[in-house]
Amino acid sequence: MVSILKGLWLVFKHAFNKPVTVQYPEEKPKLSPRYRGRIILTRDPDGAERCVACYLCSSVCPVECISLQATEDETGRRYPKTFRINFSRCIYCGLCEEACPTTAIQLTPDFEMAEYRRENMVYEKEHLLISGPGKYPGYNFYKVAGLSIGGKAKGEALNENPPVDLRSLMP
Amino acid sequence: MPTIFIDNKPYNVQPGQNVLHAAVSHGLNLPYFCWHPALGSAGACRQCAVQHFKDESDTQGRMVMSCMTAATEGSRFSINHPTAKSFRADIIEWMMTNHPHDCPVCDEGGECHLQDMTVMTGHNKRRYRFKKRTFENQDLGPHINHEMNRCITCYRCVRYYRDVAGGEDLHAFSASNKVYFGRFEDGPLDSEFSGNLVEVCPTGVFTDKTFRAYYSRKWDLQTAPSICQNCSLGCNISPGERLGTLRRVQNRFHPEINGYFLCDKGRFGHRFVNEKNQVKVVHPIGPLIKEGLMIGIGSPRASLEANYALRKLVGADNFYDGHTELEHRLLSKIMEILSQHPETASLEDVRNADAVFILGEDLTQTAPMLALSIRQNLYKRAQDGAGTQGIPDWNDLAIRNAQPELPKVVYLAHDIPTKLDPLVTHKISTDLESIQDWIPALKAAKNPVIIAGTSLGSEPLIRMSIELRKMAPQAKLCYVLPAANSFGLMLLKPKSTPLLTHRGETAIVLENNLPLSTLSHLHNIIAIDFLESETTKNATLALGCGSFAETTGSMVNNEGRAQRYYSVFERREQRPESWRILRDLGDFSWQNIDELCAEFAQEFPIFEPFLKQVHNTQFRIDGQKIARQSPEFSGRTSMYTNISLHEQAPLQDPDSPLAYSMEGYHGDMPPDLASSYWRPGWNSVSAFNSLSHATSGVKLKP
Repeated sequence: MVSILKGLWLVFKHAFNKPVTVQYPEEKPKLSPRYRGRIILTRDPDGAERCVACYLCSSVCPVECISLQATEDETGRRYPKTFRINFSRCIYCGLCEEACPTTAIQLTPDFEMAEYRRENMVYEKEHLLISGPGKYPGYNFYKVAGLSIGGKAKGEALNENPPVDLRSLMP
Repeated sequence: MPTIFIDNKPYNVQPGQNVLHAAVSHGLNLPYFCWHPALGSAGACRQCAVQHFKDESDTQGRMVMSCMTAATEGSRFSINHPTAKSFRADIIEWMMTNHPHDCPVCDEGGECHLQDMTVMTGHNKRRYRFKKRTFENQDLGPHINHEMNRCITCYRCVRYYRDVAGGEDLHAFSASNKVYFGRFEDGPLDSEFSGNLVEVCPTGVFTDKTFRAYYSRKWDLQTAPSICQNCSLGCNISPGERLGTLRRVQNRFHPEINGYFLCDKGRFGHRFVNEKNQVKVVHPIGPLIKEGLMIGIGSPRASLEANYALRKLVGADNFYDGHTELEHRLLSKIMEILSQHPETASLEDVRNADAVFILGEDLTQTAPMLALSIRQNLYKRAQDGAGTQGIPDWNDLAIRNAQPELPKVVYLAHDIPTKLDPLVTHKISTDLESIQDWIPALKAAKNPVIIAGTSLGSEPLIRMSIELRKMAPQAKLCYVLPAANSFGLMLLKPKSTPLLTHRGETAIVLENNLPLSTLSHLHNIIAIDFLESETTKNATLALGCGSFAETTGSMVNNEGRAQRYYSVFERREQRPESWRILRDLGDFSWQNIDELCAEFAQEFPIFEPFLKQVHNTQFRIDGQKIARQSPEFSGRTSMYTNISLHEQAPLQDPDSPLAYSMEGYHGDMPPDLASSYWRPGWNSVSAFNSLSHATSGVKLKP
């Protein structure tokens, strides 16, 4: 008998609690920056494309919804010629972000991606590439890599000595 | 066969092998860098250290480099001994102190021996806090990309390039921590075999520049076993395709033909497959209405199946040779010789010969891998010479230090300077006046090879080859022919082209570009080809067919070895095989290559042993077709979504036991069906060490 009253009291009390339900879409929920929603491609702090088209995101993708084609500019900087994500297949698992060695591909808290036509769920590079660095403001892969590109010659990357002078006799 | 013990387990090894070779052949995970099965051991990288024990009771042992230790009966080693293990981890850590942070932008990534070895030893964090050494790169021409920062100084490149391929413009410069591999100055590499640096280099210093502009990772390429179409040697290749374009060609090991290497023509000469000026495909093609006499002109670059279909369509009397008149005459002579002396020399025979007599062939131009085989032969002779001093044949640096006197091996008759001249013991002119000087050497040789060919268009040279053969019955003959399937076409007994003058009203020209004067009298020309040519432009009807990379067929190489090449991919707008076009023209009923070949074997019993041995379309392993794509093949649900959101079912391949899919069989398979090398922990081409090295193809007797 007591336990039944206890239960009734608990239910009655909840009627006066602040509701958890949000009046979406008028009211937007608060999401953590780590939320795994729409995928973007970011730029490095210099404003250049971060993606180096290494194919790690596409190979780790469990539903194989990422496909890209690498190419390079005249200075040897590699970038994706095309980059396509089929969001009608994407499961938002975040493995691509985890695999990305340059922090180019990132998941964002935007989940409002419903479309009337499935074709519109296929995002090309122009739909994915944003103009900022996203969640990781500092990182610039080409500043760390040994490859020389336009504006960065051999030996100018972080933690590198100037190129060896082969004609020197010094040890 | 000696037995050695590795970590207390017995292993049978080949006599004279070193411990490293024995261990990797048995699939053991022992890291190494400077050793290569075709280059021997240098003992330079110190990566393959193992513990060597005196006897069963010895638990401490002493450290040895496994590549420099002979696998003698009953010897005991340990790969997993903690001392050897930590030593190997330290070596990798030292090598990685200067290695750049390049893997994502490195073309070797994913098939890198250095990556594999680093993972294998467990190294994962750079503890070295100081700055990295850097180098300026060189421009090594249109084929090879140079990225010297990635070098780990294993010396494989110069050992291959200078000692095996005989190149002189790649050197090791400077000393200590600054060793640099390159040329004196920027410029294309001179050697015709420079492309092998891509596979010889264990890391990304030398990479394929032609692949770079349109790059794809190894696991994303769809591959199939194929045969090189650029000369008559029939080297085995593994082309890789992605998104409808052929991206690159890699070597496919064949012990009796190309071995571990390819020439640059074979490796880089495949871009025509992606050319835009393809002949339009006509579909559907109804049966041909025969009006007047119809003749067919076969092709030495088309498959056996296509040539047979054409022969069947026009009849044996109206089937003509696609070679020129002169070539036809020379080839008929060669066929006549080979019908009496069917013992032809493979490239492996050339590598092992103790005397090579070349009659009027500039091999580096007409059959480059034959030239490399002769260079490899001299490399082997040096090993044998050092062997008399008790040096094992894998101990490369000791052999070089011993500087054994090389026996006289190469004899050449040619009028112009050739690239093989520095190796030639005795050179005479092609009038063969002083050929008498060769005879003592020929008679004394145990297994000589006589090389002749059609490139100079000289019948006396071919007649001389048989004269020499008669003097030395132990000798094997080797003829360099004009095109990839010249031998096969000749086996179908075509008539010589000049015989067709003013004959026939309609001609079907199969995959050939003929001088228009030959065809001027004809009312109708039906040309079947892949790329546009003078013939297709002037034809009444031009029918587009597929290139070698998208069709399945068979070819016979210069030694009479019949081999099958399999289609690597299908374009979205499929291009048919030539024999399917001819089937439709002739209203034949063959549904797949097996049905054609059944009829073919009946009509030409000479091909029966080959067609029986080749894996037909019904062949399955564990009930499965063999997958052309790797299990990691990516992008299936987005590759073509720009065209249609609906994913296509995998294309069906009615002509081979291979599937255009990642689903299917992936494990050990017969060598003529294997097109990529992989085993756990070994993603680079080095994985071939533990795989089957059996031969394939069937030698036919004309």
